Amino acid sequence: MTTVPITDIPERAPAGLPRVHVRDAVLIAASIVLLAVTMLAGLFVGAVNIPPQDIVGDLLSRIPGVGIQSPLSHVDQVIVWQLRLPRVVLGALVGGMLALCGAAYQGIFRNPLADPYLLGVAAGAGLGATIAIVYAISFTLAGMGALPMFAFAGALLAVGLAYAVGRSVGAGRSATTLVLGGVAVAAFLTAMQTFLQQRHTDQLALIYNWILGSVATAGWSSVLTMLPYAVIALIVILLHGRLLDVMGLGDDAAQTLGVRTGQVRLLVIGAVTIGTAAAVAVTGLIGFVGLIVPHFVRLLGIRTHRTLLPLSMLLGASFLVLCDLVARTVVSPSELPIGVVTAIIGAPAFAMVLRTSRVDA
Amino acid sequence: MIDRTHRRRTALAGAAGAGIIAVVIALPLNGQAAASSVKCPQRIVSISPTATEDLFAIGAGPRVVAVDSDSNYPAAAQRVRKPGLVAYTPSAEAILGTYRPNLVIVSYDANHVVEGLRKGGVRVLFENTAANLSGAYNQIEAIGAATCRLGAARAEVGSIKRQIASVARAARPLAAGLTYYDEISAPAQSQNPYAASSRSFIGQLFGLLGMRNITNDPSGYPALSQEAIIASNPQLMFLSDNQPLDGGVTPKSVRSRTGWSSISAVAHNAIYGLNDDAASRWGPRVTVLIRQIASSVRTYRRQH
Repeated sequence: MTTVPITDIPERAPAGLPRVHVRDAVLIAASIVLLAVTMLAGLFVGAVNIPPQDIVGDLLSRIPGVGIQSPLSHVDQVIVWQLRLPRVVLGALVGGMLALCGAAYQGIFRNPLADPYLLGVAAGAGLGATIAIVYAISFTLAGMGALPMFAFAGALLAVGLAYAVGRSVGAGRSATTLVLGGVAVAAFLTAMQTFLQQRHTDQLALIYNWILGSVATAGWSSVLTMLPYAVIALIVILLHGRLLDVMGLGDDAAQTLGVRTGQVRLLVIGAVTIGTAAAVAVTGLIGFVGLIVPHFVRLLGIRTHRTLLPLSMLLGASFLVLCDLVARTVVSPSELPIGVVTAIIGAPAFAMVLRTSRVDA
Repeated sequence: MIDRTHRRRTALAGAAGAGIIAVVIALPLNGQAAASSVKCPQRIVSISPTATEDLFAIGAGPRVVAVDSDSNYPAAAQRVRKPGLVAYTPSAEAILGTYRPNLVIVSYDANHVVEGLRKGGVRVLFENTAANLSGAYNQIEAIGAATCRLGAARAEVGSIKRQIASVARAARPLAAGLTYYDEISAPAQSQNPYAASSRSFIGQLFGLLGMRNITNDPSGYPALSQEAIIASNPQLMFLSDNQPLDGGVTPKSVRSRTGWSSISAVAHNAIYGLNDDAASRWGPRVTVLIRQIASSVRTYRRQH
């Protein structure tokens, strides 16, 4: 068997593409600006009204030698730097991760309905979280609490099981058997979770709250917990961008081009699982982002994964930061579940783009 | 070439600058939270209806500045009740910024609210649902200790204990041995209703009167099959969720359930509503609850 080195795949088509490159670069730059703007808005706007100039003033007062008094009280400082900023950063991290993972899964499974929870991450994490809640398991290991750790472990276990089931069927390398394996595992784990819930109805509200998802956090521990996994997932997925393009031709075609589809799929599944599991572990189940944002990017006419992946990530980050801003302000001093906001804002917006777009997604 | 090196240097300097700013932001905030410990909290927020009742019962009510949307008792608490302060979806930022509390009591930790409030230098009491009476007494005393009302809290606990003992002593001869079913949540359509078992908080009160629950499920609040309820044929039936306006059941709706008319309690019209709120809290109104149970038993005995 001859193996064509990946680098031999033509990087750009001969004609017309430089313009596309410019367009992609402009889109990515615009998305970075958008993310910066939404994150600043997230920092400046909250349940409590703290003037933006005072936040800037507080920042300046921290620079040694500037010698101005912070205009913020101690409580306001805590609100801005320990509650709001970590929350905004976590929202960006989770939104970016879910959208990136969704785009990667839609690529390797060649399935437009694929989202990061496809292979049972949600069901596994849900069961893990439920176990931690109903048995009141409580410990902290390396800065990670019991609940996120159980959710994380449950998610990894679920995908491992789904992969094993999928591989054990026939040829084992096809994407469809993996997806079906995921369906079976998810159904089984969800049933176990429902059983536990039903045996512990006094804890229902806590479980429900976790399922709905929230990027609410206090301090930086959630961000730091998630960061290493997010970085690993990010690097692995972005490095596979071009291979995902090739796999879009179908497994057979990709294999004749020398791509080891099974190996690529395993690596991407591993990366997506680690990234999604970490996101879900710290924020619960946030739906819709991973499914819709990559499609939105495709509707902009983006085809190559080398642009699709980073653009999905950046827009997913902005989208979730924006949704969280709405979730924590509209019914203050209470909060809306962020999953409700992602769907209420996202679904109509997406439908509109779908209607006006002439690109066939 | 020079240009590229220069650009790289600029980028490096930028990254270093951002790093320094991040450290500068993070450093002064660590360790500040512990500094502002207040001896006797003057601004108390309760996000737990039970804690609200405890606070007002031990005389800390005047220092309570906000209570959650479900804290509807006592009447004095209504003045500081905040409809937007919902226990299941709290926002640490809003609580810190809006009410400026120095003590917050919660029974439920959602959205990292406990950690967030503590970061803001606020003392937080996390008083989870009490499993039994002694747990409830401990909570009242803990709230007393945290609000400089320990003496009053101990007196309140003593009074609750005496009242419960006296109600139990008087009602026990009438109640002992009666079988009962306590429904805490109605069956939606054909689903199974949830019951309070003998091992639940309220089950303990029934037990003090010598009554026998149709279920001893260790989880406290099992979903029972309708078949099992009908087969166990309880003599009395109690409804903890009996406000039709918020989806609760009434004796009438229970009688209309298919097959239930064969249950002794239903056939003999021995279905009693309990105070919804008292039945779902573990505060000073346990005395109200046990009196309702005792008076239901007396009604039952008069009629049968």
